[in-house]
Amino acid sequence: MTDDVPVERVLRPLHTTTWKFLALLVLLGLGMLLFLEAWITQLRNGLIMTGLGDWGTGGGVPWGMYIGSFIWWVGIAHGGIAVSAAVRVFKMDQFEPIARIGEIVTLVALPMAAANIVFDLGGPDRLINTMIMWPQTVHHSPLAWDVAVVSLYLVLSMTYLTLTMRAELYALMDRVPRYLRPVYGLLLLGYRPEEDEKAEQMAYWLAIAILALVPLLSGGVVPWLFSLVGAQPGWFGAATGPAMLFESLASAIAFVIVVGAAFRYAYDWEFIDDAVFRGLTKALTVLSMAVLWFLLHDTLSGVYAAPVQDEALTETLLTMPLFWVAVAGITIPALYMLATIVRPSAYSLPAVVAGAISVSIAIWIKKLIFVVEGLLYPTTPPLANLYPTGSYSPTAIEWVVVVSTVVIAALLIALATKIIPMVELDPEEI
Amino acid sequence: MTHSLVHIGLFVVFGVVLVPVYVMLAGWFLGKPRDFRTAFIGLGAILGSIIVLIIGTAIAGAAIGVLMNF
Repeated sequence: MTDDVPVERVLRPLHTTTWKFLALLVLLGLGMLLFLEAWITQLRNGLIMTGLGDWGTGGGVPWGMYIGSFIWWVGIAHGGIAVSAAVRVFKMDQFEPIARIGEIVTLVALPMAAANIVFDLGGPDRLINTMIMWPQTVHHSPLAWDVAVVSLYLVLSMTYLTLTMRAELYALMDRVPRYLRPVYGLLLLGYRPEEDEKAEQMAYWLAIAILALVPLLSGGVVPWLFSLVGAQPGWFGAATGPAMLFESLASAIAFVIVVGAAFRYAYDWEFIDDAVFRGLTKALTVLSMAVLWFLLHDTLSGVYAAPVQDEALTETLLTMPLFWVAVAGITIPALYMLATIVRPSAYSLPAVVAGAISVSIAIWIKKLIFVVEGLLYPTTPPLANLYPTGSYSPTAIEWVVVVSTVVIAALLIALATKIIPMVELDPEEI
Repeated sequence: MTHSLVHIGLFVVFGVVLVPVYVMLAGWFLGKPRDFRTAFIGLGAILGSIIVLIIGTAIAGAAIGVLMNF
């Protein structure tokens, strides 16, 4: 439980709504309308409205921005709650003010990941087909494993948030607006104050499970989705998992920095102090360096005596300006953040936030390139004998839908501030 | 690829990936303080969430399917 956190300040968003908040809602609402217009157009007319096409025959790729964004959101989700779980398991009390923000980031990011799958499949009804066929496909399909474990992670994250909030919600019941009481009542089903010690023990084991699942999912099942269907150059590789794990954690920490700073700015929550952000910055620096190291590893092994198709792919990659945008987007912030560690006076929260946004976007670009590159170049026989080199140009609909997931995430986080306290409170102090 | 009933996927998902969940459940039910009531509430939250996810997806899929026909 968090000490030195002013309860009234944390509860203020539940009781008061400023014009700035309403303006934000209107802005995000307009974004939602744009999203609905684009998605309905796609649903009505089919995936032909996107830049996605038949693999090879139409000179396109079946997976593009949607699947790239899916991996990006999954990574953010896995790292978000890992921050919270690590705070509990390793007793890193200093980071408690941003622990729940990490949980919320996960609970928002996972549905956004699933939404991108739905966009790519064409409609939610096809997701049901995947669920119905699951008992047959789980034997052999990494996609079926993926659906299962992403759902599992969402379920565990929801349970974790509920378990860790019950004592707090019980203490808050009389202090929250009347319309929230049914919601709190539902979350408090079967609650008795005697359960608190057991609930804490269960949250500990749940946190351990979540931490153990991060490398298994973000560094395992999700990259296996690609590396185990290794017909495409650039996908098959034993290091894909570890590389993706570091990218996931980096983008997740970047997201927590951005959301945490937004809360501090919006609500004057200076108790999310510089020490917290400096700690997160150190973690992001190390993770960004690791991402660059894996990139160097891939590039070097790709251009030096790699199998023909991988060598061709890597050489093409090095000629793509977008690839270098991604490299710069990680390298420049990493160097700045490293400088803040060596020389603490160079630290500036706005600059760190800008760096975190840059790293996050760069990793999204990297995910997109990773998904598309192999599909563009069917160089592995027998595909090479059947299809020419393809091309991929995302349409406006894809851009709107993908960017909208960030808008929807922001909207959900904004609405969450009106339902639960964004910082964990000590029930005895409420 | 043959669709045999015993395939590597089963071992990967149920024998490796889900191990942390088995350990967590063992911790809940066997760990101290021993409190089966609260452990079952936790298990109920997990099962309830799974059911809500499946039914919610089914309803959303059906609703969007119907709406798109207008």
